[in-house]
Parts: sequence; C-alpha cells; structure tokens
Amino acid sequence: MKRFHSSLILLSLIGTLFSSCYKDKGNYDLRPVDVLNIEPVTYNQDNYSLSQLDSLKINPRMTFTGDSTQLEYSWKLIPQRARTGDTTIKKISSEKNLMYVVQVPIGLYTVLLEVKDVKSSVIRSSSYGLNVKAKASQGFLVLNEKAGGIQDIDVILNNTKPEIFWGAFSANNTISLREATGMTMIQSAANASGLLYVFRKTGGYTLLPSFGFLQDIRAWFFDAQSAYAPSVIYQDFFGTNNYLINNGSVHSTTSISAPLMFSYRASGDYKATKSLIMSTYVFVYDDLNHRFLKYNKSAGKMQSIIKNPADAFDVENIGNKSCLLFDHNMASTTSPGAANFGSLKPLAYCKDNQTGKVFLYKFGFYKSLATYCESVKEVTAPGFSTATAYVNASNNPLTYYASENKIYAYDFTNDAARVVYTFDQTNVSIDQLMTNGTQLFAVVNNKSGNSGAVFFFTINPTGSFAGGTYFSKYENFGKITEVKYKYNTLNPAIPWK
Amino acid sequence: MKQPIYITAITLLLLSACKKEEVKLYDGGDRVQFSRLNIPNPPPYIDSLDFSFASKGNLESDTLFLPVDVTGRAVNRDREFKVAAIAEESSAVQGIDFDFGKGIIKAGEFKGVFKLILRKTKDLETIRKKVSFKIIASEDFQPGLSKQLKCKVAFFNFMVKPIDWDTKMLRYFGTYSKAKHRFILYQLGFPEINFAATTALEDPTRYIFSGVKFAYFQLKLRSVLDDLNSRILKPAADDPFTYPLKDENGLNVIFP
Repeated sequence: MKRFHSSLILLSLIGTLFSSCYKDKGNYDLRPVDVLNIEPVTYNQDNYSLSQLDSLKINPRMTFTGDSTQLEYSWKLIPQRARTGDTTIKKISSEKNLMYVVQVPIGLYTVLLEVKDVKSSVIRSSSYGLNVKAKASQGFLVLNEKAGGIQDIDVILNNTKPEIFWGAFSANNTISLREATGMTMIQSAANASGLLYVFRKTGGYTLLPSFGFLQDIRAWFFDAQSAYAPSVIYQDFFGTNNYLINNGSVHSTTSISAPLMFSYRASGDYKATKSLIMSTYVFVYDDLNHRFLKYNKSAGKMQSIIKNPADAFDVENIGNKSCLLFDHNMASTTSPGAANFGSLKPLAYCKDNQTGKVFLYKFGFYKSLATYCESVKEVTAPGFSTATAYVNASNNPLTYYASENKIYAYDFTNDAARVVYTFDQTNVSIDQLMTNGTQLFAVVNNKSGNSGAVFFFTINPTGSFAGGTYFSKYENFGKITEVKYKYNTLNPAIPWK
Repeated sequence: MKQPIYITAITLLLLSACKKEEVKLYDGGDRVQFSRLNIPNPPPYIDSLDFSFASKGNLESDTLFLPVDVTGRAVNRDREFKVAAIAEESSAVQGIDFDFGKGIIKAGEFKGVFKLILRKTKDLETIRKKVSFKIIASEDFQPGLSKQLKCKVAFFNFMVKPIDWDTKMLRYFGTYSKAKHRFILYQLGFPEINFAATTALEDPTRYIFSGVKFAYFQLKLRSVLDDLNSRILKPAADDPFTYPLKDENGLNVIFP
C-alpha cells in the first residue's frame, strides 16, 4: 500500500512537470476583420504652421470596410520633447475631423490621430507636424483679474478689430499670476525681440515676447534687495540707458545685454514715486523730502537739480505734497536735445497733503540742456485733485484726467477744463488713461463687480474725441489692473504713454 | 525502497529554488568624517580653508561651521564625535587662538557640524596662524573615510594688496589704500578679492571675479559709502569704520 502511494506521488509529480510541455492546439475558427486604413501623410514639422488662437482643422481621409459607427477617434497634441506619460500631452478631440483652437505654448508639436475599431480592437494611427507660433507679437496687453483672484494677460490684437487673444499668460505658463500691479514691454536696438516685465506687489517676472516665463525678479538685480516692489522699468531706443525703480530706489545697468541686470541702488536720501525718464535724463519726485531730484549716472547717485536765480519755485522743497503725474507734453520717446529744448517742458502735478490743492510745476531747459523751474500755479479744474487717472497729451498743451465717469481735457496754459466724454454707467471707475497722440484709451472698471472694459478714442487736433465718442470697445475682462502696449520688431516705436 | 529517495531528492531539488537569500546588515560600526562641499559635482574633499578677520568688522571671534557626515546607522539619541588638534602641524594654540566646539550628531541625523571657534588676537595683524586637526575615535564613532578626516584652517587679520590692483582693479576701485581694501572686503563679505582675466576664469569660491562683476561691486561700494558718509545709512553694529571714511593717509576714500 505504501509502495502504491509512493508510486502515485511520483507519477503526479512527473505529470505536473510534463504538463508545461502540453501544446496548445488553439482555436482556428477565424472571423474576417474589417479593414481600416488612414491615407498616409508624409510627416514633417511644418505640416501645419499656425499662430496661437488659430484653428487647426484636419479632415483625415480613411477607408473602413465595416460599420464606421464602431470607430473611436482620439486626437492628441504631443510637445516635441514630451515623453510617454508626460502631463503636457493633451487629448484635444474625439471626433473624426479635428477642429481645435490652438491654445498651447509656442513650439513644435506632433498631432497624433488614433482610430480604433471597437469590434476588433485594431488601432490605426497617423501623425502630423504642428508648428505653433506666437500670437500677439504686438497689441494691447490687458492685465486683469479672473475668478479666484488669479490674474491673466489678455491681448487686444488690433484695436480696430474685435479679436482678443484670451489668456496669453495662462496659455504659456504653468505658474498662476497673482498680485501683479503692472507691466512694461521694453525693446531696443540692443534687444530687438524685447522682453515683457511684469511687476508684482512683492516681486515680478520677466516674460519672453511669447509670454513664457523667463526669470524671477531676483534675476533682475546683481545684489539681493531688501524688498521687491518694482514700479518702473525703462529702456531707450538704443538700449544704452536702462533704469528701474524698485521700492522707491533708482537702479541702472552696467551692460546693455538682455535680459538686463540692474546694479545697486543710486545713493541718496529719497523715495522715488513719480518719475520722468528721457534717455540719459532721469528725474524723480522724492516723496520723502518733497523735492525733485535727478539721477547722476556717472556718479551713481541722486542729486539735487541745479538751482537758478530765475527759478519760480524751490526745487528742493515744494512742501508736503504728493506727486500725481510727472511727464511732459510730447511723445514718450522724446528726450531733450538742441532741436526741442525750448518746447520740451516737464510738468509735475502735485497735491498738497493738507489742503488737497493741486499745483502744476513746470520745468524748462536752457540751451545747455540744464533745467530751470519755469513756473508754478494752482489747478482749479473740477475733480482734478481726486481724479482716478491722468495722462498728458503728446502733442498739445492738455492733460487728460478722469473723475467719476467723465474724461476731462485740462488746458494747463489757461487753467480751464472741459468734459470730452461721459460714460453712460455711473458706477464705474476710470482707472487708467493712455495716449499715443492720435488715440487715447480709457480703462473702465465696474465699482461693484469684477469686470472691466477698454474704450478707444480718436483724438482730433483740438484734443476732443472724434465724433464725441469711442471707436472701439472691449469688454468681458475681469477687473483691469493695467493695459500696456506691446511692441514688436516690425513696429517698435508707437509711443503710447 | 529506492523510490522514496527519488521523491525526496526531486522535492528537495524543487524546493531549493525557494531559499531566501539573507541580506546582511552593515556591521562596520558608525563612522564620521568631514563632508565634501554640498554642491553639484563636488570637487574632491578640500582640507584647507583660509579665514580672514579683515572682512569681519569688529568681531573679536568667529565660528567656522564644518559639516560632517555619518557612515552607519541613525540612532534615537544624540551622539558625540571628537576632534583633536595636531600640534606638530599647527602654529595656533588651543585655548588662546582657537577652541573646538562640541561635536554632536543629533538623534536620527546622518549629518552634523563641527564648530571651530577662532579668536582675533593682536598677532593676527602681522602673521598667519594655522590650526590642523583631525577626527578621532569617540565612544560613538570611529574615524570615517581616511581622506576626509583632516582639516587645516589658516586665519589672519591683515590684507595683502592684490597683485592686479594697479593694473586691473584700479579702474573700478581707484587708488589703493588699506582702509579702502578693508572696506571692500567688509562690505562684500569676502576674505579676499581677485581679478579674473575673463569671465570663463571666474571662480567665486576662491573670490576670483571678472571685470563684469567688478563693475557691479564698484557701483555698490560707491553707493554704500556715499550713504554711510552722508549718514543716510546707519552703520551696522559690527562696522569697524568711522565715517566719513578716510584712509591711513587721512585722505577721503573714494570709488571712481
């Protein structure tokens, strides 16, 4: 019996070992499979070359011998450098024909079509090259707040056409934009493609012309700063004069190479608020000591503006006042020279912090291009002292200002103001005015909600608005923080200010 | 009779594949050594350091923190490692010129620091003192990697005029004076400053900088001195200078 058991175990063991040698005869009852073919396309990187926001349309040609309702389509957009499983790979459609609004960073992509026969699980695929180019190489950048406190930059591409490039920042970055206070595009002969600087309450970013992130604000400075609160960045046409005002201090560069790197602050006891920068000339209002100063670049310090016997006011002490606007009445690209020294008049509107009265301080240039204090007089225009936005005209002796829902043109020569436009809505705040001499835009925010709009006006020779109204209007933004014009290499010198 | 033997042999053969390989634990004891620099692609261990009080303002003593690594296991109590001076390789005297802090590896940690306390004595104004020391066995640790057990620190309180001052640095810093040199090192926080002929030859770890950096140093030094001289900027607590800053010849220190 025992021997029987042993034999049984031995046989079982041998049986188990040999079971792996059993040949699977399989099932040879074949069913015909429907044939699926996609007409091949020769792949190259420029099969499709589009700008951001353009529509990508692909109608693939294919044949299928079965029931085409049984086909599943999958279109994927794959960045050239993406690897399997990369989160940047997007599924963009499940339809047979692709219709996709390109809203991805600029660069090279592959568009992959996969068609699956559900019945047989057979998959056929086809690839197309896509080159996404920058949209909004120029236009009006609208920095505004979206839901949840996140900001974005939308772009009015052409203020005579309705198209807006929504989400230029978010489409090109993975970071969220918050606490941005303003922005400036700088571009020069030394930096032809330009860079976009975004100022934040306690920081800032440098963006490429295509809106992609390039640098954090710490890269703007050679030395670490005690506080990061940028308010002005300037580069002249040749790129040789570069200035930055950060936390009330003036900085310049030692090199013109982009991206710019700013040096230690200009020495002196000052807090620069408003400034007027014209190539080598940097004038600031010092809010600490209520005076006007100029930057001596070669000495690296802020200095007093030279006093003259003919001065109409004390440039080193104008009393306890805050500066509302410091500019001149010419194009923003103007700088003092032999041809314009008699007509270029820096103007500063300053408000007395006790009385609320506003005074206009006017400077002049001698032929030597040294400044003098030409005049000072009180501004009595209605609503001027409490206005929400100011801008000097570029080609006539007017200052535009916004009070409540009205835009005024103030003739500072005769201390007379007139209303040039009244918005229908009363619950609005006109938070920014900019002009290029022939046009003016107004940023109008709703006081009670998170919405804003931009209105464009044509300025006629008298300084009034053509037709008494705007020629274009852009709505549906969140509350607008700032609008700035973005130049490009083809159109670098539109002097919006 | 033979069959049970076959069965047993085959079964054993089959089961032999199931034997779990034993993983041995590290039993080399816990060891400690000085760390290599914690930077990408660290260079081989550097056992020599220079320290200058010339850039430290009014500090009468300063502490160098030298990182150490543990080889072995972390434990749930603080452990002590020991360092001993090598008298025959040192010119500085323990208790007068320097002291050692207590070397502790905290519970659960694999890293720690060794504190070397250096004192600014009068001698340091003219001579360079050197202390050489090594990690020795303690109750908790044996010495670790043999190449990373020793360290030499030279310390001093004087400045040597950089050889490139009159040819390369003059443009940025102007005429040399000891007061200016000391002010530069104090403000920049460097023990020394040297000029690199090209950007490619820069080595900030050895305080060698190109002209591009010197231009930025110049602007900073000029601005800071200007504000200190005019009392816009309040001198730091350890600032050893009197403002307006004058050099050893009684001339105003200026940066061009």
